[in-house]
Amino acid sequence: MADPRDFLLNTDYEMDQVVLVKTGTVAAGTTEIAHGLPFTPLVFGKCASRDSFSDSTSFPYMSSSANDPVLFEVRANNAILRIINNTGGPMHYRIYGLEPANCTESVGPTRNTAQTFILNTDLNYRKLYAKGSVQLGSQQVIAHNLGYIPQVMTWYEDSNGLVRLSTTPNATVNNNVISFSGTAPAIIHYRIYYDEA
Amino acid sequence: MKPSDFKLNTDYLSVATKANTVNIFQFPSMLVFGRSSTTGTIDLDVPDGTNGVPYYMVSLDNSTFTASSYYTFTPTANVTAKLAIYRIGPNLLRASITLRNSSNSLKTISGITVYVREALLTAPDMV
Repeated sequence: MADPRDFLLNTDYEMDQVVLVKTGTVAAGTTEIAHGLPFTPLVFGKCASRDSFSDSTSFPYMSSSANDPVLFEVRANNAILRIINNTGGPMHYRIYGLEPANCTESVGPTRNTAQTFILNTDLNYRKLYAKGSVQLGSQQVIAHNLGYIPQVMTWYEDSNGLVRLSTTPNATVNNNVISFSGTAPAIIHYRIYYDEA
Repeated sequence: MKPSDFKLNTDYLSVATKANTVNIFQFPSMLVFGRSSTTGTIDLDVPDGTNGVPYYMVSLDNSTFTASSYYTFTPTANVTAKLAIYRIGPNLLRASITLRNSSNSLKTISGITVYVREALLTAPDMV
């Protein structure tokens, strides 16, 4: 079985390691919290108006209306997380962070109890195929040639910080390539997995 | 040593996926009048639970996907369509399309089919 997709866990391939976990509640408006890492983390996570998270959605959370602003997003730089809550009310958040590809620093562990499973083979652990960043300005194409649609995570970074990619610029994926387009000097960070989307 | 010097490092929480689903939303034809907006939404019963971080990829042709839960496109001249995928409850996934007409004429947008691939990212503390 040479296909990485046949394995739930496969140590031939790098796996995502969470280096940042932040949870809490923010009021409407902008909140800044220190993340304590020596680099800008690749943040992802979710937000919800209910503390049960039953209405949770990943961020950036955007209004479906064509011209309305982003309702909830988290931007990171090398010192802080800026949480922008335009929903008009308090929101609960769970923020996680991964290492960027160019990271060279060590960071403290995120596991915090002996009572939780660090690995659970009831679940599938994504096998990293490629990671990196590209400078926008002209269309950037990265060939993966996997023959199927892989899972891809992307982040957009400019002078305002780093945020999960939402609509513009687009990252499009087909069976063979991933294409990024947008305006310089922004940077796209990407992680491509062997796992199928 | 940085965390990724190890392919597997149990000092750090790992991200796993569960409950991959492929969902298809089929919108009917919609009208959008001159310089106005029209919004259509469809909800699908897709169980989520509350302990995962939803991750989406969306497509209009099931062959080229956008690595995002949002997608903006132009279904016909002078009409901008904004697609948004989000959860409105633990068992309801919603697709919403907002059409904005920048011309002074009536536009008919034929039925749009949206393909959504969803995975839930999870780690021990993602409860």
